[in-house]
Amino acid sequence: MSSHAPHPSVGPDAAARHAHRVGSRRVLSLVGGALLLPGLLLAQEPGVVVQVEVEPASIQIGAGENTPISARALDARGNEVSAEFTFAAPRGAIQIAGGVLLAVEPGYHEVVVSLFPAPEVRWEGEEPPSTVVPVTVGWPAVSEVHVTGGSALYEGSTVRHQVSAHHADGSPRPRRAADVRWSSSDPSVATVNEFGVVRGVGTGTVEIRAEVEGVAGSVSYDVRSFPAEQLEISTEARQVRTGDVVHFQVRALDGQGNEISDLPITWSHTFIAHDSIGSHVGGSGITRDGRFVGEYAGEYTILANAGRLTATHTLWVEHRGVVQPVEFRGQGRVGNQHTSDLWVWEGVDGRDYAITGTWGSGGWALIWDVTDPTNIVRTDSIQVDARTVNDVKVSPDGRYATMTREGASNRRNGLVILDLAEPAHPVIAARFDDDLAGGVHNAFPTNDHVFALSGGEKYVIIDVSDLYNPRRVGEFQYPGARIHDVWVKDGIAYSAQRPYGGIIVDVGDGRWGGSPENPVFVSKTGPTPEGGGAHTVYPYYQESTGRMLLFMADEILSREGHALGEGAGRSLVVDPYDPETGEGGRPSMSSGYMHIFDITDHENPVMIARYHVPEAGTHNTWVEDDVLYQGYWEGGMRVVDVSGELMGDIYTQNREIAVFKPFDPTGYIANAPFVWSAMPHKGHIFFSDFNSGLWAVEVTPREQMIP
Amino acid sequence: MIWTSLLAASLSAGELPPSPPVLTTEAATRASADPAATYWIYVLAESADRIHKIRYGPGGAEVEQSLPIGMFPVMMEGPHGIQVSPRGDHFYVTTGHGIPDGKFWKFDVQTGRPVSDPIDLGRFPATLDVTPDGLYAFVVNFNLYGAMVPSSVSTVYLPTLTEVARTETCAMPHGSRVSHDGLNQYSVCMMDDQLVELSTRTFGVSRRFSVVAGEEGPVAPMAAMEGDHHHAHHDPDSHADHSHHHPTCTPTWVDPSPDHRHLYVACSATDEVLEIDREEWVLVRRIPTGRGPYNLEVSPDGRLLVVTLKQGDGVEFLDRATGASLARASSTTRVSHGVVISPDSRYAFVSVEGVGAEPGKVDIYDLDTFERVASVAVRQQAAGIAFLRMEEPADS
Repeated sequence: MSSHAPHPSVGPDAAARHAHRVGSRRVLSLVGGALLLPGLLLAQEPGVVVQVEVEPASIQIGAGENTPISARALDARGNEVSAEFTFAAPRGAIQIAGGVLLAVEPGYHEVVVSLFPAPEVRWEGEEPPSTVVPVTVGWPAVSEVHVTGGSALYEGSTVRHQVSAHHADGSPRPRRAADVRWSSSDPSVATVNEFGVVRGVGTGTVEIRAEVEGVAGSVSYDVRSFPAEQLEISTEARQVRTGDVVHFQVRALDGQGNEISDLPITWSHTFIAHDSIGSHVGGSGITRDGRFVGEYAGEYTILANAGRLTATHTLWVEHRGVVQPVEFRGQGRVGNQHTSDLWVWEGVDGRDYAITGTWGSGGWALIWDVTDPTNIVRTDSIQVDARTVNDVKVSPDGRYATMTREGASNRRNGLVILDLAEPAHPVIAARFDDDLAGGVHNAFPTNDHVFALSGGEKYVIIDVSDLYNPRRVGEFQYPGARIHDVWVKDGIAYSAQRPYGGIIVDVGDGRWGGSPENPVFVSKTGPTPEGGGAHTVYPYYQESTGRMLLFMADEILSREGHALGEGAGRSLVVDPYDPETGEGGRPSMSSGYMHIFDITDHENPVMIARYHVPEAGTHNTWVEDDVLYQGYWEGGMRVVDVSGELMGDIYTQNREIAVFKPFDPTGYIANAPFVWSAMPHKGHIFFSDFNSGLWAVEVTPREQMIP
Repeated sequence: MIWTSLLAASLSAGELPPSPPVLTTEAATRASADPAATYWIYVLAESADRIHKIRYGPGGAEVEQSLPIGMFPVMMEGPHGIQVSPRGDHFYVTTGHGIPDGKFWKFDVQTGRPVSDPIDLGRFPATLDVTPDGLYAFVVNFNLYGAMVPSSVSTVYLPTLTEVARTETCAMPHGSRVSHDGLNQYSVCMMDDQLVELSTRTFGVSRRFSVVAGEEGPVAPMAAMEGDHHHAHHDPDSHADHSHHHPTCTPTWVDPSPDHRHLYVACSATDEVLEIDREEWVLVRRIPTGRGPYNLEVSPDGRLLVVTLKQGDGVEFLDRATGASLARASSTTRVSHGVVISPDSRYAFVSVEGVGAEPGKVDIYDLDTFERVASVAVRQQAAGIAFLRMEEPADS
């Protein structure tokens, strides 16, 4: 045990004793030329603090409540020493001011109370003495409990119930923090288990209660005898492929042939693989409304169950059979630096062009003539003040392009607008950084406006009718925003906001009164299942179903928690191999997947499906003519059939048409596919690869076997 | 738009843009005899998400270690501020570019690895400093995003890496420094022309000082509360046009003297350093400098003020006693940034950002001769710099 006194009030030479800066560090000082080491001599002295005592020593308190808290310093003899203290507590959970502790966030927290090292204070030990006060903050009292279930309950049928609990201020109690006790007022009529599954076992009235901390909610049933004598299941589907969503109709009839519309139905299925291995589980199941999708080719038997009745329907599901060859057509190799985003367009001169950005380099964008994908020619390069041109896009009319800047030498990032009047040789029309200095990660150009992200906070809306004089006209910021990407379609802006998922805003559609000058919030999708990843959004109108879909891709650049990648899942070094040090040259790894929402009702987005390649992660997205073109980082460029109704994980449904991994032995990191963006254009697919530049491939028809 | 005229460029079609620098170890240039002692510093490459450990000693200067930092390999997270714990066992780094919050990291010096996941702070956490007891870090949330609204200083309890306070101070706080007695933390407000003092006990604002040119003096608490700000909507940290901006201090840095008596504030727009009496809370004198003083440090022996000249692309050495300029040196590349001085007051280590794909540099100056004695290339945009340790020669 040692002590020291790093203050001028102790010892003969105050200045020399003081803790002082050594370079940027502070070290303990010399006293008379000798290091002031152990404080054993001081420890027993009166007035040398050896302990901090806090009242109360531990705290149990409810959220929103407060309590006094105080501390005192004691010397070795237990005498109080005049001193002050610091109180360290997580600021979002506990607030302490003026001797009062206010509990904010439920949970277990700690307050560390430390002696404040004022000049007149001496203490034992290297660091000022401190004491940890455990604080348990309880949830506010539950004031309301709601139970939801079915419309009817019959003897022998089952209905699953759900419960929600709320506090007096209307905030919900998380399910994990609610201890729910289910009960039935008459178990001879209906039973309920710990999951809220209620089964009618007799007839009569019954109340099903869910109690949370003494507050109960309930639903009541008049349980009647099971009325059905017959259960029928049918579907119009005949030729079914993996990935097709099949709708079933079920009819329950009583002894007189009358239909019973409110009979609770449960669904299940059995499966026999077409190769008779019989080991596949098969199918992503059936939802309550009687939809089914098969993941594997084989024989499925769908079962509808109600009480003692079961109806079945057997289907044969064919392999989807959409795989097509994908063939290399050309490459605009960039092997000396990383490539970022791309955009392909038909120039006003009738030729086809691509623009690609560069990453972690000198702020370049490259212009390519891709009219002949087998002979990609770079026509120009444009440099701006940046280290990364993360995002490049071209307006629908081909009039202008946007380049986003990060790493500007003066830290004024922003947007650069290129005039594409001569597409092979664009010129800088304007540089716009008003409200964008923090960095523009992504932007979306329409013919008249650019929606430019401002530092992860919001998007700024810029009128670019005059390219050379862009004008800020509006902005949108979601409360607590975590924005990463924005896409605009038909006057509606869709943004990916990491933990909040997708945010839908009227910026000109008008149904909600929005305009570029006055964006109006419409709805949000809510968080994605794995949370925190919403990175890209792509709105798509699916003509075949009349549905509006929102494809929302994660970006998770690590594989923490996955067997593949755990421990080495986050490779932050994206440098080429250095033979001198042996460092670099290693491919990066990613995870995350595509979430697909039905947003036909823009005010009520519903997640309907996913596309999840298990050993890589999603990046940028394009959908056209019911085909998804997905940059899937180390998973390559992937082409996926997204026709028809979508349900379940479309990766496991044989919907993938083609996969191309751009291996380039002369890449910036050799043979390390890491696909950023993909985009179809006039029959070819162009994509940018982080390590090897621009690529053109073509999905070709499958050769038919000639008997 | 100076930048556009300087750098908007294009290449002929067949010519690929130059590669970015890829540095692992690089020999330094040396202009004079190597030192007898050995010095280690850290410098951050803000646009390459790298932490470089540089050794300078017998044999010259070199990058001894290069560490990656960040959560996302394909996003630029922008390490900006760095400080070493008083014991020298940990170092702390801020990364400015988040979504949108930046992060605060704690690294183990021995392993070079983060000791845990970083924590979120405010918008663009930048400069930081640590109290002498090693318990707290004070981090300015520079917030260069969007409108110039008041931002904050975050207090982080370091043993548990917990943000315990976020105190609103002013628009674009910068240059966090804790006084050598550990009682106060100081930062300056680039857009509000203020020096702000925090209590390291309560984490609250204790005093404010206006550095508006010609109006220097204490700011009454009520005036500060009523938002008596000078919100100039331009970035003084830039090379942008200053013509529409009233020529006032636009402070970028503050450093307390080792004797606790004075505070030195770099006025980037008026090309001077203000000396402020810490106790009396009055302006003592103005010390003229070259163009764009940005960061500065008082030498531990109290003799010198070493000032980086951001717009002047150099470094200036001032006699603290007289205020006289002893020497001015050009940096080896553009955009001079930070400075740290060795504990023996022998050498100044200056980070120089570079532009675009250019490497950043650490220029090393002999504080007796004011000559550059070495220069080490690092990754892009060399920014925050901190002293790690020094070793005397074995026979000393």
